[in-house]
Amino acid sequence: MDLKQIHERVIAGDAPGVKELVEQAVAEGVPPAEIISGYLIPAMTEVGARFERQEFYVPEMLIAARAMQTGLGVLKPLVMEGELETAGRMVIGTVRGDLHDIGKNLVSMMFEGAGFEVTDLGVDVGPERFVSTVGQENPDILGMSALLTTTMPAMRNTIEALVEAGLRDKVKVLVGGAPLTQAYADQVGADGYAPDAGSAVRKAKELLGIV
Amino acid sequence: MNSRERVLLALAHKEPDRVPIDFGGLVTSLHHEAHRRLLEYLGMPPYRAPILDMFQQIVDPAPALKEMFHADVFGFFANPGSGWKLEVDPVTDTYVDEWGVLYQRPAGGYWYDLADHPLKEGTIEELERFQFPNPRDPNRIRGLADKAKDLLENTDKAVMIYPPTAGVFEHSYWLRGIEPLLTDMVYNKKYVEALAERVMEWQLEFWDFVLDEVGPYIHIVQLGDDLGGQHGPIFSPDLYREIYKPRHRRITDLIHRKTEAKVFLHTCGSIYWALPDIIESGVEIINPIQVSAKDMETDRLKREFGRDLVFWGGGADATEVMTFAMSEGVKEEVKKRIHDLAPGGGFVFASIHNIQAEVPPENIVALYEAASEYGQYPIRV
Repeated sequence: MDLKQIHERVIAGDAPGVKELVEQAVAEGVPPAEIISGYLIPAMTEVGARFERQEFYVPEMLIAARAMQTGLGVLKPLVMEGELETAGRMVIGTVRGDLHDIGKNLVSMMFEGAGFEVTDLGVDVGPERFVSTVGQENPDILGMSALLTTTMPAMRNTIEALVEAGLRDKVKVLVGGAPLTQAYADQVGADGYAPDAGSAVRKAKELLGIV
Repeated sequence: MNSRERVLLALAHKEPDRVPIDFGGLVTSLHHEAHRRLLEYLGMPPYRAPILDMFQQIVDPAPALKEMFHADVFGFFANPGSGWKLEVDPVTDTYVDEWGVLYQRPAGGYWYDLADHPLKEGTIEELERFQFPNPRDPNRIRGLADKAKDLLENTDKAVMIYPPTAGVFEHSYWLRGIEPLLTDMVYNKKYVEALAERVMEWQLEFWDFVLDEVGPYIHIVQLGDDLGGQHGPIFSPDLYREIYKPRHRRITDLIHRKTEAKVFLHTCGSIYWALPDIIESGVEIINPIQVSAKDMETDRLKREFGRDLVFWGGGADATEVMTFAMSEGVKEEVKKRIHDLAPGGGFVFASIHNIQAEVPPENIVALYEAASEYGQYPIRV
């Protein structure tokens, strides 16, 4: 079979097609880790690039990310421990008082699509929950999202809570959401800011020195 | 020159005595908490301001504030359908609207958000089964003509009617959910179009019914449909042009047939890309001019679209300036927007969307003071 089709079907957002192709590839003996790193991840990198170039919009990105997740769903259980090098671990959530999750979901899926292991805490996540999860999971990246100017200050509160818990130096904090700017990210003491889901992964890799 | 003459001149792209100001409307007001703190800061007596919009928790501000800020516009809603009453569940802090959309406020949150949607399946069959409320419910117009006539005859303000619901795209996703609708756009465009059609049909019926009552008494009809994200279109411009733009046009055509009022479109975010289409779809006034979004430089907007569009809003970047700057920064920002947008008329000053709960009262005062101070024609800033 032509494995490149997996790449193409992910970009086209064809979840059933991806599932079928991935299952076929596995049946033909292609190592699952190779399908992930050779086809699924590069496809999502391409999707992120097209989004940044405004060739793709949120709908196209959403369905591509779901197609990728369908593929991952088949492959992940088949991957042996240590066989697949992870890009890093990430914990992500929308901050307290904020129920908006489409941007956060896209970022979360783009990280998964870039080979990160992602723990998504959902929406309306308080500082204490972010902090305890960082303590337990020891992620490389903590991602926080806010859509409202009134919930943005929760980012500062969370970063302060990380400091108090002695965890601030153990994790890179990445923030995003429509009302945010680089200046605000600097002000609240985040390590990085990304304006959209495509560039968030690049920013995280830059912070982790794995460009 | 009174308020109404001022606004009407601005809408005719002529220079009045000063830039008109809209304060206290559906997208130009403030959160009840900001309102409370503002009155306190100004040493004014507490005022139980009625909630103007439940979702955003904004108020119809105290009359003394409207006077102080030189508000030139009055707005009103049609009534809801007779079968529906606002009922908030105090335990979950949720309520359901006339269409069955659920809204929830998170604990400690300032306003409500969409939390559940009636169109779960996303099929044409479900859409056909789904009961929209009656757009011609007599309760919608009960007392409405008298109210509008009273505003026209007994005030000197410009009179605006607010929309009963969001626009064709936005109301589609209120009913269906945003992620499902965005996904439908790729997998099931036929459904997206069928939903848009029904949403539009409801709005055509509504406006046909309501404008028969209030058409002669109003100057502005407000519509809203958010098309922009922070950095550009939310979904592809081709899809907007195919599905939503023609339906916007049908609504504005009907409005223009039934009243001489101008059509005002509230559309958030980065919408520079859509402005030629928005003009073609019959819109005359654009709001809120979200200057923090991509491609929303006010000097260029005025240069390229100032002949065709009245800019209504633009008053101080809501994210950086209003929330975090000092009041001097607010004044500088107002100066710039007036410099860019006011010359030749075609500009009504308003805050960029509703002022949020945590905006310092000093900044709110500075915003409207600066609008009056620098908004005198001829513009010298």
